[in-house]
Amino acid sequence: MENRREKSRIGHTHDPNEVTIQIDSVEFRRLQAAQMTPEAPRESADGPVFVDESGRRSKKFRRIGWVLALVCAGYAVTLVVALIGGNSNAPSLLIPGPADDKADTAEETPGPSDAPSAPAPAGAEVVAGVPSPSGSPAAVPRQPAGSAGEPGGDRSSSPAGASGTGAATTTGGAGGAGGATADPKPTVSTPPGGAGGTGGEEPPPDPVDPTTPTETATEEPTGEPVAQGRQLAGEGAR
Amino acid sequence: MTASGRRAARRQKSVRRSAIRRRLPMRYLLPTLFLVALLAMLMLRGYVHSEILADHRVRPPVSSGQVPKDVLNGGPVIDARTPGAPKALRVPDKNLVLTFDDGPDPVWTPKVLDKLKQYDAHAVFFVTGTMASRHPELVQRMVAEGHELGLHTFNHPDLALQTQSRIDWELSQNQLALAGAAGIRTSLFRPPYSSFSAALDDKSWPVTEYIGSRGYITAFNDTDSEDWKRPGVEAIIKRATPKGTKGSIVLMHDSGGDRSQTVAALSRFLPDMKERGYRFANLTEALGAPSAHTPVTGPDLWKGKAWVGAVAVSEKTTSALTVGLAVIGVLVFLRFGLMLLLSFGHARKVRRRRFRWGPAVTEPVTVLVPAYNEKECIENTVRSLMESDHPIEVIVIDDGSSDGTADIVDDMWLPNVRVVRQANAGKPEALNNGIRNARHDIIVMMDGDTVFEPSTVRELVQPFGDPRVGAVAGNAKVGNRDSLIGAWQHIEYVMGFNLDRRMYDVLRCMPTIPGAVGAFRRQALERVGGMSDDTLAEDTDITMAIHRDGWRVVYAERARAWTEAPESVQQLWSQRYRWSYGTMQAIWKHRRSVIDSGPSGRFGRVGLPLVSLFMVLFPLLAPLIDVFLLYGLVFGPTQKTIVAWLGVLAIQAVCAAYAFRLDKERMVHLISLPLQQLLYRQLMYVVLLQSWITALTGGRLRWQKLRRTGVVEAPGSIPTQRQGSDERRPVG
Repeated sequence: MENRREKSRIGHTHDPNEVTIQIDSVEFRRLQAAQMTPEAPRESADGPVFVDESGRRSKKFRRIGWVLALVCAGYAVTLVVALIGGNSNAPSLLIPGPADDKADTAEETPGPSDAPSAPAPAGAEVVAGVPSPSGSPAAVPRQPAGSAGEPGGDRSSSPAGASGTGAATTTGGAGGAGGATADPKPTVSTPPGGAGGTGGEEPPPDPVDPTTPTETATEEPTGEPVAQGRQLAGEGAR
Repeated sequence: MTASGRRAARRQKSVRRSAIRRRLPMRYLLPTLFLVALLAMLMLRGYVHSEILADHRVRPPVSSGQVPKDVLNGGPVIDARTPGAPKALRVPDKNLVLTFDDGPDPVWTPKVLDKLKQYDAHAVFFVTGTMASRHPELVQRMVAEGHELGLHTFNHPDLALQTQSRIDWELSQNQLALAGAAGIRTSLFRPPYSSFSAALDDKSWPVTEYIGSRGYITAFNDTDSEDWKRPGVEAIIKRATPKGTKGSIVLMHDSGGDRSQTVAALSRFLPDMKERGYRFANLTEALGAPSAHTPVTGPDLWKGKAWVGAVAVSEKTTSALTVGLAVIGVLVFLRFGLMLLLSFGHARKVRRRRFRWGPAVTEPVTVLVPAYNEKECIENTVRSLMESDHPIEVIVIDDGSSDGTADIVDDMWLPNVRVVRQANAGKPEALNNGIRNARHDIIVMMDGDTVFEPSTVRELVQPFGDPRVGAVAGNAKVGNRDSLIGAWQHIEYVMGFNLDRRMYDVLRCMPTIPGAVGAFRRQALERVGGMSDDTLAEDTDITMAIHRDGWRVVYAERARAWTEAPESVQQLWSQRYRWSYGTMQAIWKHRRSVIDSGPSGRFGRVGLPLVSLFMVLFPLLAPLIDVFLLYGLVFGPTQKTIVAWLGVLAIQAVCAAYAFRLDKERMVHLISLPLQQLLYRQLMYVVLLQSWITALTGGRLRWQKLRRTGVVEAPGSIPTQRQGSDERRPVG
């Protein structure tokens, strides 16, 4: 008893920096409680509320605390690891069709895949090229790409004719090929670039051409981006 | 000492030392890590919601002189993987490649996918990394249903404005998101803000070339539906439709706003074009190439999954926190409103000219002054009592002081003042000892360091004219309010007494009678068994017990007691640590009152929730508010954040000003209110957090003394140096 009092008295003068020190035991407290209290308290706690003399709870929470701490630290570390050292390269992809087309644009066809699998491409191309649907039509439209080619009018009109089944647009296509003024409704709204095929008629005014698309460019991207930017911003605000 | 004994001693010592070493960091380390993780989650959320690092600038177009003619006039698929020999590929006739940009979107993408599925069509989705990270399940579904994925950068900047390393970052982050969501990488790319390949210019072409050098096929479009302008279903279809049987890459959007028109257009466009003989293939199908997808395996796959998982965790956590904080915010403001309303009502009621509690109380009362090492203060305290205009008996209970406190009082030779000495046993026991020695039926309790005004005791006991009143809380005032820390506590005290306590008075659930100035009916004390040292806040404990016994506890605003507030952060910390921990103990001790019937149940269902929520639970989440605030200042809408903060501050200022007005205090001290919100509040929640940890782990707070300077005096009383303990609890 004396001893404990001594302890608690020491407690008073102790360094206030250490705030969690067990000072007196439960028994001491009970002895004190027994001295007074004419009527028993309505709700007597078993000891000082929350205090766990055994220290078991502290240990348990310490363990839980470590787990939580690890989880939190792990989260931050995971994030950092996931964010650093990404790979921005694309996996290699072989596009077969271009082979014919390349004859026009560039001499070296298989070159595209700078990947080590360079030899394979040639074979793969052939194999992949086998699918007739892609292979044959690809050859046709590609010609226009070579600006040196024949007047696009010819070419674009021929597919249009082929798809003659289509009612309204067919005329549109033909009109576009003819001279653009013929049919107001179909593709007028579509900027010149969209009718890439029709661009075939451009060969003569080659120098003029670049400006036309550029103008389109002014209109198109500015319109979209602003709106998109706004949308993104709106999204952010949400 | 034997060798083994020495070893044991050493072991014991090392155990103790390591216990201390382990004990200290944890209670600070864990909260810090929590905050770090939370901040990481917030930043991550900002990153995938395009609040952080997003660049919404768009570059004006420039001339296109340096773009190869073949590209300008060629097809929309640019294969620039061979330096110097770019190819512009075209989609074969009767092939339509639908492309959807900016997704996946949780609302519209599923609808688009449903339509595509319905008509057995394949498409290409150019997804942004942000959206793919947030909705990985949609990316999975795209792949599973045979669609193709392309990169659209991570957060949609205009790449022509970005550095090469940023472009690399955008690509790798986008691939990371795809790997995490669907376990693939892709070779397709479409730059943000792009349109036709003919629209390439001298700024965007180098970017396209660079991206080609990284191995990507860049896909522009032939027909732009312009659905993002929401021009109507008809217009979308018209713009998307190619001429004749020409092959076409069609640009649409499945994200970035209301896409109902796009979905509606699809449900007509798909069947109509199929009827015209078109097939809807994804890009590599149309070009007759193998899939653009490559499975990701090994560490890269795990990195991707970790990324997507981290984003999911951050999305869920921050959303829940936002909702939680919003709810708390609303409750806190409701409480402010209620406080203003009820304190107005209370002040009106008790300030009516003819207001009386009952017959005037004139009988003598006992004043208990528990003292432990109060040699600097005790004389002042006792002398202030001698001025009392109400008949009193003073009992000074010396709790085993070692500085001769009792002798000082004895030497004053005052009539009506008795000194009771006891071995040091703590304040509750000292008060119980005093109660046993008290001769009168009304017992006033004060602290050894508090100074009463002459009228304090009289004002304090008047409510006992009402027989239902079991205890009365007085009005404690901070004397040393000229320092910053003193001014903050002054604001806190004035608000605590004039708003909180009036509200609690009206609601009949006062949680605390301050130890500095309170009065009790002896009968009430005896019925609840006197003071208990179950908790470190015996004043809160006893007040709750008296409530539960069915007594009323009221607030006497004119019973002023002057006290000295802690003047150092260390002292303030100790005092508040004990208060908040003690309050938690008292709440826990009386927790069963929630299910009681009668007055006890009433207190348990009104008072306890109020105190638990607003004093113990919500303040614990206050650090989150600060973290959100900080985030808003740095990344978010800075202006809005500041305005919101000022708004909250204004509301608090209004409340504080009203409280000051009620107490006729000078408003000048309110100047430090903004600063209080920036420094003082944080100290308070760190203290509360520490109390929580101590409570959970079962440690015990040591009784703590304050070091005092001794400058407080009641107006008109004799100034003396003072020193004392911290046994005041002014703020409910």
